[in-house]
Amino acid sequence: MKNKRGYLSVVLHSHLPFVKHPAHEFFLEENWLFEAITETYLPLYISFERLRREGVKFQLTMSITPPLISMLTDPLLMERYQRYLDSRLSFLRDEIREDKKNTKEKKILQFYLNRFEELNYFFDIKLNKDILSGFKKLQEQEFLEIITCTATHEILPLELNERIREVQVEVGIDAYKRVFGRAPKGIWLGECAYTNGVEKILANNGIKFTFLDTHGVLYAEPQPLYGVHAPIYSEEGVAFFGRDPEASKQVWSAREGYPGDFNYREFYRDIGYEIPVEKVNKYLHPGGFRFDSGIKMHKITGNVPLSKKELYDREKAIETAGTHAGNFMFNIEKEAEHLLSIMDREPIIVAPFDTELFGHWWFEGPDFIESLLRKIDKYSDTIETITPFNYLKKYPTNQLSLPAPSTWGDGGYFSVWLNEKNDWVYPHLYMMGKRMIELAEKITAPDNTIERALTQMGRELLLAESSDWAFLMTTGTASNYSIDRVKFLINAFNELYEEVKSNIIDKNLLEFLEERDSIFPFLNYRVFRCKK
Amino acid sequence: MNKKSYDEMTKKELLDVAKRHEIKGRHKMNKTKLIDAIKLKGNPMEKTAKSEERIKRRKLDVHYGVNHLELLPKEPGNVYVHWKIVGKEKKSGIFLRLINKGKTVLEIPVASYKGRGYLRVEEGKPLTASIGFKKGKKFVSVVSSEEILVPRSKPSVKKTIKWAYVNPNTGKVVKKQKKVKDKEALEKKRERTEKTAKTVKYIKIPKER
Repeated sequence: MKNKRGYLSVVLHSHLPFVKHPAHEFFLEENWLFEAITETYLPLYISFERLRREGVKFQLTMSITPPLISMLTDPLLMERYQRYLDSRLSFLRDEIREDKKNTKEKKILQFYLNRFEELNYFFDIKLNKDILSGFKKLQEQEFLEIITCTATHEILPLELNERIREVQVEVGIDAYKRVFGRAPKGIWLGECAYTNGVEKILANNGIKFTFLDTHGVLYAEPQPLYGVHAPIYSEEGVAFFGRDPEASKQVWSAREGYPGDFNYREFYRDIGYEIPVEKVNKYLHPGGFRFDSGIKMHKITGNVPLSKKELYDREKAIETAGTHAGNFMFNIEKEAEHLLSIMDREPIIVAPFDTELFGHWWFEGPDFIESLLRKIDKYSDTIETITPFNYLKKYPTNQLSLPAPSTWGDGGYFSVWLNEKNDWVYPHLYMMGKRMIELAEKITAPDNTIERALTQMGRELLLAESSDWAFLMTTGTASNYSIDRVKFLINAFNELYEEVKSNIIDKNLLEFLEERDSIFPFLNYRVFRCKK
Repeated sequence: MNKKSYDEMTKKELLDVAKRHEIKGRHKMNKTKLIDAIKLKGNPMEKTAKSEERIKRRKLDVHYGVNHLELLPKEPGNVYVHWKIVGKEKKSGIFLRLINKGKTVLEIPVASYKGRGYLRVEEGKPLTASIGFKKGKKFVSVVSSEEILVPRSKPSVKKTIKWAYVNPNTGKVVKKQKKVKDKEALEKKRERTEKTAKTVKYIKIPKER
């Protein structure tokens, strides 16, 4: 056994908003999920499996949010994902058969064909269209620690109803248990958003740890002696781990991060915008909409216009990912050595990321992670990967300190989700929460239809609380979609509220909403009752 | 969506449609009767489209029929406030108050029974808001907000160090004493971490093109 000097805890936060539109045969925003499966979730799973088969020892933490769980277990969406894969496969086969490309282009197309065939094998055959079963198995084999998240990734400090905050945590745990067969040890707070009081809810629900951005722990009261390099405990014993900015910035920094290397795949140039219209109709969208196909033939190349990008060289890109993994490991080792020289225990270096960064935004990201985990296991005398829970088992004594209100968003607080563009949403959420609690308390023995309507109100409310809508309104991307979506959810909730109050339920509407906003099939409106 | 007319459908298909309409006695009907019964109920897909349209056209409930006041933390020293008063109370002489632990820290007259805006406040303090009017010198509150905590932009000044052992399996918390090695070096490292965290600009991800 090597004598290690520190621990690296990589945390991948996997989340997408719940988007499902059964009434529309093709709905563009459903592609968010399909792209993430194709570029991130399956490639990561395949990498982890490869490491496991090689006998590489690694420990990694992944949060999988309840909306993502709901989508990955939704038969309609998984059927549509199969269609997504099939269309790419037939496009690639036909393109290669056409045989008029130059050799370099052909090589890239062949790379994509092999890749999509592999993805299809894993999705359809190995995992039987149940992606989560693959991650669950890796958790049972102790490579992964999967944690949950608040039910719909709500920013808890912007939720004014205490009971709704609790419900967000309770439903998040329930959704997790149903898929992973045990209680989660940790939770990811949507956007790492914390304010005082949240720790009590976590403790009451048996949560042992969570994560905050650097200042959430650094500004804790009293000052945390070890900074972010050891967890702090709230009085109730919930552990808070803080992000190490040095580790994060190498991967995540807009200026100096790895993903901008010129050898990596260019995100913004996609053949979906270049192939002739008849091919768009045939393979991408019957209505002729152009959007990302996921087949991107070029590399970043340099600071040149999209038209000047050079063809992608897969071998070179993989080699670069390996070099970056080695560099990352080296820097973590140096930091761990320094920390050990001033601390009286091995430090933990926590590096949390959005999972979708790896693969979707940074195409070679999963290769980077795979290479990093392999290198650490094979070559590092200094560091080892660990999960927060295993670190707590090793070091169960920590400083008592109450974290500071914070998020990991731009600016570090709440302004991304609360500003002139989206603040109109919050009074609705507050009043809807009150209405939900009021009816849940008052109606004790409803008939079947009323009960379904009440439960559907709960789904509309939780969905409206997703942080994603406010985020998209701020960034301006998909802003119209998110505004329409929230308005619809608010209206659907209030319509159902009035129907329940008047005891006249429009069954067509109810069925329509149940099919469309079908998140949390297990939900029961009674969860909104205040605990006595 | 099925574009077949009812006349082109088989009896089995018609029975399926009739089932969605919850048409009673459908199994005893012949094709013509089934079609009549379905036409009477209307096409379910059309009905769905109607439901969807109805929700889309609904006006957002703007007041929910009751007084409400929301106070939310935006960032250190900055909060959002929104209020709506319904009913027939008097329309002038209304004040908005911000209160920290029972003490009024800000009082401003507001022009209307509904409004919204951002206010500068002291950071790191718990705060509630209240809307009301004055009877002589006395402030009569019409509605109050929930309490929030305004975020803080710097480290805590408290330096007392307490430790706890938490049993990883049971979660039981036991207070403990512990010696610390090199406080000064640790403090320097914390300052460096804070500086890095403040200067780094993380990638802002565009969700689409």
